[in-house]
Amino acid sequence: MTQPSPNPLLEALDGRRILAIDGPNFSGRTDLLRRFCRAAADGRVYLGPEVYFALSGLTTSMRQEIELHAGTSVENSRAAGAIEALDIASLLDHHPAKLSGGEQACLTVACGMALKPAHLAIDCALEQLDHHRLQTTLQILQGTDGPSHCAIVTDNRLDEWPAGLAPVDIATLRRSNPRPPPTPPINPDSIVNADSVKAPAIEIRNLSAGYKGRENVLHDLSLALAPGKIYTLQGANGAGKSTFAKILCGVLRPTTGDILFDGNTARPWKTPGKTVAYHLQNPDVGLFESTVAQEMNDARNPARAKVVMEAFGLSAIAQRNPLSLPFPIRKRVSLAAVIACPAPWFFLDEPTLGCDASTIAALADLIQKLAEKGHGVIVVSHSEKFVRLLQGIHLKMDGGRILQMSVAE
Amino acid sequence: MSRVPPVARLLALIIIVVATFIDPYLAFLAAAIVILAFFLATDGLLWKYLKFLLVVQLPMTVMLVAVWGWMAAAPPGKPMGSDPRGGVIFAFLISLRLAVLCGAFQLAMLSIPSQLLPATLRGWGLRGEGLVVALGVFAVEPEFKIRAEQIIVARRARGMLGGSRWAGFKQLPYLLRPLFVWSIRSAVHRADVWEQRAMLLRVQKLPAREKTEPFSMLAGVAAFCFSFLWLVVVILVHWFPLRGIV
Repeated sequence: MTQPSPNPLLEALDGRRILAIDGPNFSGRTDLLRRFCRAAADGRVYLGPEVYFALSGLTTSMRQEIELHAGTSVENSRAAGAIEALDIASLLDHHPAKLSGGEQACLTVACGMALKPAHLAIDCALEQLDHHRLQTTLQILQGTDGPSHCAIVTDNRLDEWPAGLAPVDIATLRRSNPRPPPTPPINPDSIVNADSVKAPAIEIRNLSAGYKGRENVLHDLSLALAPGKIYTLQGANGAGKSTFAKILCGVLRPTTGDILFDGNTARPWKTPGKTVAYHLQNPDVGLFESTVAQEMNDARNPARAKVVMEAFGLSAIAQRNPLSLPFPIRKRVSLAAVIACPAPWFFLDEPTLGCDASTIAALADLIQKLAEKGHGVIVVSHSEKFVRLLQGIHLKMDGGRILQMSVAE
Repeated sequence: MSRVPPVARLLALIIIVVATFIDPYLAFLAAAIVILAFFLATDGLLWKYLKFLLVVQLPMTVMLVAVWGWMAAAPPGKPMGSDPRGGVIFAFLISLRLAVLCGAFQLAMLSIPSQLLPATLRGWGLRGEGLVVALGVFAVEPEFKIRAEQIIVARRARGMLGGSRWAGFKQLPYLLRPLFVWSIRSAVHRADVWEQRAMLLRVQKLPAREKTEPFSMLAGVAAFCFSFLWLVVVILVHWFPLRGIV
């Protein structure tokens, strides 16, 4: 009788608390983790990049969700320490679907820990965490006072990980050939065929905004944004970055303050998305048409749709349903759909989620070419690598205000 | 009402449903609505109920009155045009019964605090997949509402939709497909998650009983007494019809 071959992931763990796996998209990382977790349902938990689908769908608050996973109260659960360390205790009564992407990622990790698994397989689910929460999560996963499990993590921000957590290459772990990517790579040079635009200068004066129950998310914010430039916006989860995007785009009305386009008072909430188009973090919310081509609004502006699809390498899958595509490609389609809009400004919220190093570099190149065409671009990203590649004007946000503005060297 | 014990809550609801169908008098139904409104107000649900009355109930009542009081001009079982007043009374009877039933359901279901929901549903005898389905029913409405808002935001973010409320309202048909697709995707993904995490077993482990407080017992007894008293009254007037009371 032949002995079953030992699992390559268990071999690679070799006493480590965290095993980081490096590799490009479609190199077989997800398949490897999924198979690993299916092999023994008990004691192995898979957390994918679609963090909102990792929740039960049965609960209406974060507290209930954690208690459902833990089988006990939040305070007595294995996730209690993580909740405190990740600073999400104040969100326990919020509906999981109402949380921001980063907060949902924290909740998913907390639920995974509450299950007390022997192995926690985290597939790009930590990419939505800000730098501080990423480091905290790694400390929790590694810490001796934390849960007694091992974590196997794939991530596209491994360059920001502590030096002691050297990643293992996927090629050394997989036993079958990876499936070919469904699309060609991004081709930034194609965007030179797009028409040039004249974006207006944006000025914001003493702007405050918020939501019911969270009134002061943005507080007395003043800022001037020049056209044809790239701005990179960074800040902790919950700092107000997405709210700022909603205000500029016009899907949220400010409570006080003025917005000026080219020196004239503007009311973007009357015509949302016309001056500033906004790319949402979650691709599944931002995609709602039947085909990739329809997402590019090809019926209204076929020339622009064609250029954008070529630039993003989507021409071959123009007639595919966008929601049937893998996560990194869905993310690419949702980004392309925003770039295909006739708006002169783009606000891109985490455009590199789930993207590997080569895609990140190509996206940075493409965004620079858009700026050369006259577009203004504001990019929110937790990826230090992407921010460095963009070489834009760096904005740091905290507590609903811009704390710092600096030009990349 | 928020901490009414599960059994009292269910019994009161069943009794109110039975009494509503037995009650032939508009005045009693109207009185029941007033009492329900008082209970709903104490739970902060009155505005939701009034919105339902305004948006759903009022247009429906107008249509019912038009059909039975004007077009048919008679209640069921009588020749057309023979009794317009009876037709109008029948239309109001249907409308008020519906208003009472919806108020009772809102009070019995929506007043359950989310942290007591599993305990309440288990207190009603729900177990296994039935419990999961019931919990899902309570969770699906807020999630769909949030997703619908997000889809409207996504369309606005790409300049495909104006900023007015009317523009948002006009988009409702376009929401159906993405919401349907979302629900299917959500079900497929979650089925995987559920299987892997043995979620059905975890739901069974949710606490079956919460500690009963003196006030919650009092509220439960009050809800039960009110509904029972009403049932007794409507049975009595069913046997001994009152004259002059509509």
